[in-house]
Amino acid sequence: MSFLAKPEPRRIIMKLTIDAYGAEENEAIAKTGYAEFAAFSAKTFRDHGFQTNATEEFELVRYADSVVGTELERLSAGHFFRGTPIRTDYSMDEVTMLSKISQGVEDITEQMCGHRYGVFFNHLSGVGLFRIIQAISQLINKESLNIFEVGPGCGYAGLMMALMGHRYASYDITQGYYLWQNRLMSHFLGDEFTEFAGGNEFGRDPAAISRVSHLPWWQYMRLYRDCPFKADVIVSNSNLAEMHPWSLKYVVRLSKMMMAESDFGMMIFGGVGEEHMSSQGDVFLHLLEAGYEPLVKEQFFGFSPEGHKVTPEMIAVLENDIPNYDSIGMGKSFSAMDFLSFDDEKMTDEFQFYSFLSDWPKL
Amino acid sequence: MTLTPQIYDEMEFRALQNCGQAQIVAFGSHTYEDYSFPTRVSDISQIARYIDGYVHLDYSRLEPGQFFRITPIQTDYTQDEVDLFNVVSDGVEEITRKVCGKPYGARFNLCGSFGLFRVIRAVRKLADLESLTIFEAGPGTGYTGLMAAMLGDNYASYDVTQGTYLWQSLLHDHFLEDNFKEYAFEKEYNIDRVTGSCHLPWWHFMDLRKNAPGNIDLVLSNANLGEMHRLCLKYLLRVAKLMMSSSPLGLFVFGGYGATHLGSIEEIQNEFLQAGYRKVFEDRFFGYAIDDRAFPKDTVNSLETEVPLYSPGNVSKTYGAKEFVDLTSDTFTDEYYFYNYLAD
Repeated sequence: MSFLAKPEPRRIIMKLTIDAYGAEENEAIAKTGYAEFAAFSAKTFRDHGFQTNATEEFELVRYADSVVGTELERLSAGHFFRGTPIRTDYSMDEVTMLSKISQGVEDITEQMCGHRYGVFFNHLSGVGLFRIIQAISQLINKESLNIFEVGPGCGYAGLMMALMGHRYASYDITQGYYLWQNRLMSHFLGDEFTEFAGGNEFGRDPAAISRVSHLPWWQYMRLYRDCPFKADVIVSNSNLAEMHPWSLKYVVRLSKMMMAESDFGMMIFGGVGEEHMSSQGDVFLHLLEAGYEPLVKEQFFGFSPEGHKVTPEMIAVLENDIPNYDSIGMGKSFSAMDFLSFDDEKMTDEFQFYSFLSDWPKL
Repeated sequence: MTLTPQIYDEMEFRALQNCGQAQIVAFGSHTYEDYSFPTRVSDISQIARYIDGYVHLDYSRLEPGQFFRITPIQTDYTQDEVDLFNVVSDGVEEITRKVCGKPYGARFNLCGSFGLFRVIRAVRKLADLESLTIFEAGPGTGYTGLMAAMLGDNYASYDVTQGTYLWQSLLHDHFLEDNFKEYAFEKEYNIDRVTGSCHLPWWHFMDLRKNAPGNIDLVLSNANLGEMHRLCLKYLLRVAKLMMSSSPLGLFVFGGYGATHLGSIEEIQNEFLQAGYRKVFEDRFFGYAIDDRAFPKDTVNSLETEVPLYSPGNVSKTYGAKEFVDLTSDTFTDEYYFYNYLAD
């Protein structure tokens, strides 16, 4: 399946309002005990002074891209950044997809705040995990994988997976990111996307779950009772060490349930994120204690539950260089500077601020 | 017009809505919050909390003949300084009587403020300038800048903490009246050149990179470089350079780094170098100059040896703080008695 054959993105469907999310979250919090409340709080973000919530629609622009900690080397070819994990050479297919996403983000932000803001960094990073998914898809000869993503952040990796036809579901605990993900997925996937916050319960019937699903944390928190989501791959990048240890324990156990019937079964991540709530060693220990086996470590981390069907041959492929997504075998690659347009008008004030204090040249 | 917590909070809320993560993180009061210091008031009557500092107070500051680097203060005071102290102290009592319903005095922090005040006066004299134009980052109780402004220097400042900001506004408004401009009321700022006394909330300071006044001679940022977020430090150092671009002086001054909670001394020193400064003074206070500014060796040597006391009247007699600070009247906050009790 080629992304290029996809229909035009649909108009944004604004069904999950900030107020509706807030009301439902408050209702959920009222019913939680200490363990659940602590497990599903955005503590690391808050401890680092990040703003986790928006009060008005225009503020969601804040969650469309991330510049803090960004290195300009990401824009030039030939680099590899493990945390994402991305090699900074992009195929023509990837450039086409990134450009389409970029255009969509401008459309969304124009609706949000009357100004077209672009995405310059985070969608590039999303290509790293997307390539791994494509490599696994090819490896097990399954065109449409079942993917569950924990904490998608700006959401671009998951969007690319969904655009490629995979069945994709995700959850997030941060209101701002969650609402941004909703706008992004609604815009690009239209009726194929189901938002489960705002009064939409998914019930117990897996068939009722649409191809792309979005769950608020309070529904994710209850999945252990009866989980209708099946997954071949769990993606949880740059967040395992940032989540509360109880959340981590829950994620690794629930992920096992989701992957129980898979022909493959692997939790993948480039890095564990900021080692704020746990160290990398603690995260690995949690995975081992929960019955996972570390299988892949060179380009990204891959842990599979006991009884997995990942063969040594598959591991050998995944330990090697993950190929670009290049459906037509064009071979040629581009650096981000070749295709990104750094139009001042499309940069947020935050971008300009960070650029100033980082001594970035004019891009 | 008094800047109330309600007005400040409303303006800050609107500003925050338009900020990205980098800006929100940069201008948070992280260190205060991590140390459990209250950063906000909900009613202006609570402002007495910000007029003086007692935590970690060293009583030997009241004795003559001591030197405390972080302030940086030599604890001998001239008659001119005592007179100035009394003027400010009386004013603080007037302000607090009005807004708190009871007069509270400024003592320890006001004494400490003479340290950098003397540095300002000494630099002004050695640079042979009639007045300086000063920008201060995080003035805290605000007395150093106030005294400089009262004696003819142009002065602008910003702070990230709502409580201290509101106090600074009350203080400068009381003493400087029409010569003081509070920009927290304004949706936009316009200070191509700093004249008189200007007070900028952090959200306007955040935008100074777009239109920085270029006539700042000296930037103060005392006891806070290690307490501010790295992004804020980087921003401050760069915008300070822009602000000092047309000054022949171009000096960034501080006595100490503050709690090295968000940055170590080595990291901060590296940030200065990366931003294009070089260290010129370090013995009595820290002074970093913009790379291309010359400082005559005798000027440097003179201030590295001793920062002169402020004494335009040329009276050589000096006093220890105990001789002029009123430690008996009932103008202390309850916090003082509490801290005094537990500190024996």
